[in-house]
Amino acid sequence: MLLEILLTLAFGAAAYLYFFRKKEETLPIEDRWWGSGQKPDSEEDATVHPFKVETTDEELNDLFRRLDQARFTEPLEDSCFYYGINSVYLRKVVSYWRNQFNWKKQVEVLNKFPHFKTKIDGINVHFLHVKPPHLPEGHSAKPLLMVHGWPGSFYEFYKVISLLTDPASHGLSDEHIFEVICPSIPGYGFSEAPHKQGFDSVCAASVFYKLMLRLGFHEFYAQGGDWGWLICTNLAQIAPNHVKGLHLNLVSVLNMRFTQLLSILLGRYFPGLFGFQEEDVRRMFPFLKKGLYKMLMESGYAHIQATKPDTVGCGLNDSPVGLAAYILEKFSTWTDPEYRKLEDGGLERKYTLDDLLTNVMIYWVSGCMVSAMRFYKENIGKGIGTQKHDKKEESIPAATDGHRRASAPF
Amino acid sequence: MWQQVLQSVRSFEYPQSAIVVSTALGAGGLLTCWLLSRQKIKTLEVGDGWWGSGERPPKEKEDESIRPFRIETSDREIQDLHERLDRARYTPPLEGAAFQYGFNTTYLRRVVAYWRNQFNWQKQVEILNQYPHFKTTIEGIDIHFIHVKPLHVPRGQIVRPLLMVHGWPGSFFEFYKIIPLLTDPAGHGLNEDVVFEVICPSIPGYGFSEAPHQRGFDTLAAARIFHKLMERLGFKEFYVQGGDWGSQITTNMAQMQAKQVKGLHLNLVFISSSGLGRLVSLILGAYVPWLVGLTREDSHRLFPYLEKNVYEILRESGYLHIQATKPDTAGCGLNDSPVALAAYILEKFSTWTDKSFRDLDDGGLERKFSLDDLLTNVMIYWVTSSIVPSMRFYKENFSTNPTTAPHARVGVYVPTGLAVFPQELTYTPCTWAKKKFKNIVAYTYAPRGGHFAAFEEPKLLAEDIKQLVRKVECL
Repeated sequence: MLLEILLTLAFGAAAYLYFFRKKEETLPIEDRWWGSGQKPDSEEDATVHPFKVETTDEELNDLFRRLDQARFTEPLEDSCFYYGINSVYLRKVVSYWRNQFNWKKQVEVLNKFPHFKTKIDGINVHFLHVKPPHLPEGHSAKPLLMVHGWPGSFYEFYKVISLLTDPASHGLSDEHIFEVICPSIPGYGFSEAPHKQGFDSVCAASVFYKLMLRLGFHEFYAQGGDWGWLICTNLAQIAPNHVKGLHLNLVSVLNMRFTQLLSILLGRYFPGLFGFQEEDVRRMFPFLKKGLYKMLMESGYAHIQATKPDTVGCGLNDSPVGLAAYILEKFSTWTDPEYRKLEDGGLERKYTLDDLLTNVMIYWVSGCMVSAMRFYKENIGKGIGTQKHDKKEESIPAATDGHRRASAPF
Repeated sequence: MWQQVLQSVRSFEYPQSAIVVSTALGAGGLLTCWLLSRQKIKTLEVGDGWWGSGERPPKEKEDESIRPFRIETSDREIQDLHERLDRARYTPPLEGAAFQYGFNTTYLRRVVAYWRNQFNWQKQVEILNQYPHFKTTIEGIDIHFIHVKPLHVPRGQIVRPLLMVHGWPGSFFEFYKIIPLLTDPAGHGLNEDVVFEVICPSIPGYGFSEAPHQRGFDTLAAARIFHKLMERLGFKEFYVQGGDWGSQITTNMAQMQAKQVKGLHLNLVFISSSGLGRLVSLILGAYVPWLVGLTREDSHRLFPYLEKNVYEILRESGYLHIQATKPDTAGCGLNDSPVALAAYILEKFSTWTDKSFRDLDDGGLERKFSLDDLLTNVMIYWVTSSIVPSMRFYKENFSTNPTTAPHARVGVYVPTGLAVFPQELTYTPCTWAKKKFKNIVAYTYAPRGGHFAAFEEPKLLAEDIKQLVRKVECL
């Protein structure tokens, strides 16, 4: 009798564990065609072509003419960067751009790393692939995918790449050496823009997943900030067995659960109850002032890009000064919101004009601002926190780096 | 008789007499309060301002002359425009996007081709100059306005002054079709019982009015400047009409100096939409509209509330959000690229005229407006470089919480006429409007039309303005 009971219990437990165990959910990969017109029946050309960034005198002359004929509006007295970019400072930037900035030299700087293009799902995807110059005995290079955001580009990684592929030469420990792959999100920089509607972060993640497979990587690390954080996170949700680790320098919670809402209301008074550290309390509260109000002040661009990208991007693709104003304002305020009090927006405290303008030039010469902005509509247009991937849980090792002044990607 | 009353009072038992006395006191108190509140109509403080560059000159008296003004253009200006149009860079739209992502560039190229090859700016300037223009300096900046008087006035007919204020992204030009209907109704087959002389200023920072050099120029400042303008023109009493920002400015004028504003006509109503009462009204109104004072028409236009009033507004208010926070950034490219300026402005003339135009490849623009008219308005922003200052107006007005700003708490007691156009961006039922506008004498549902009422349906609007005058003057 006892034996029967024990057997029944064991069987019951086994059945329960089998049927009700937490299945590891994966996000389905997106397999859509992004080229123009109908998808051809023939198989896609999967070659990886080397690519070099180029420029012409014609391109430069056109830029100079536009810079020379730029029309500025005087700022209000004492407005610094409170109304957006200050045009008195902008004139100085444009003057540097016109007379000292050397795009041909910057193109050589860009070409110091090997570039490639390959066609995936109908569009040409651009990427850098940087291998370590020398590998010590017994070491293997860890593949690392790094994804940029808006209004950045692959160029943002140029300083960090050498520290990852060649740490020894920079006085760092060579315990971990990486080979780095930095793609341009389709619609950004030298990657072709999708021709169809609906290209969101899950689609971008699917394209990058196919890229990594095509390059022969079955396991890799992924790093991302701004849109990069969402794309890498989606990549980990699509292929959790391939993503060894996820590093994010920005995290946004898109789907507010009840406990999180409660934590906003009560977390200031009972931090321990919600798992908040002292640093969390210091940064989050008072919530309205530090959270909501600040977000409203800085999210106008996201609102208009998520609703009318083709309108707002139009001028930025036709006026290089307008483009620079729009992009550089973010490099000022998103580096430190206190910079709004400065007449020059504090831009040159952390960056050189050469670096800032190189990033702007990538948007200008590729004419990609409109398609870059459309990414906001594709991702946010249907509502925040409503997508399937917002609700799925993450189960691979992840590390986030809470920088002091990171703002939300939008 | 009094003795009898006193006797009967005295004869009451203590508790009863106490009740009578306290009731009498209470009633007397209430009566006094009511009488006092009727007399104490709150007004908005007028204040003063200086918008010129640098410090206000201490002793100098402002030059109050009214100088005639003519719009001019030059070959160089037109050539520069043409060069920019010729080298415009476009991004092809996504397949099947129509106007859902903003202005469709396939259609934009056609507009630009017309602009470059057929649109005649010199001819349009002559059209603009058909009415007399003037400038005068108020609070340190030059204020531009047109002043159109009736050509012939029938004997015994009073000519009523009417101030009409435009909004964004419009201009004084929006009123060019309605002005003749108001100053010369007989010549257009309309009843000539009411005739106007029309004054259309440009809001400082827009068109040919100088832009303020100081921070803080909001609708209250504009209202005060327009009051000074009307005073300078010699008007002691006048009517005001406005839509978009014009609605807020004319409302502020009525709140500041009610005695001078004979009647207020609006084709857009701004009221704050918060408060417990509003919430209750919304929750109950979906099921029992009559219980909260909503009509069937109100129900039809308000509900489903989330879709029609929250999502729709979120979809269409990106421009407002960025202009209210970073106007100098948002306007920078638009002041440098005429194609961009046209796309940004004309997108509003499409969507705000009829939301369903978002599904059309050409945005339905030419269904209600001619390209000549649309581009003339765009040119006003282009030749005056006023897009950035026009956007700053949003930041100046939204920098304080609109629901707690002083003018949100002051009622409007001037006789008010509201014209509700079906495709307007937001809808305000009469019961809600009454909380702010205490003296609504007319609330009309127009049969057709959107945000740019004067531009799109001048006849309907003209009729409604005249109706207000008839009600105010009991004609």
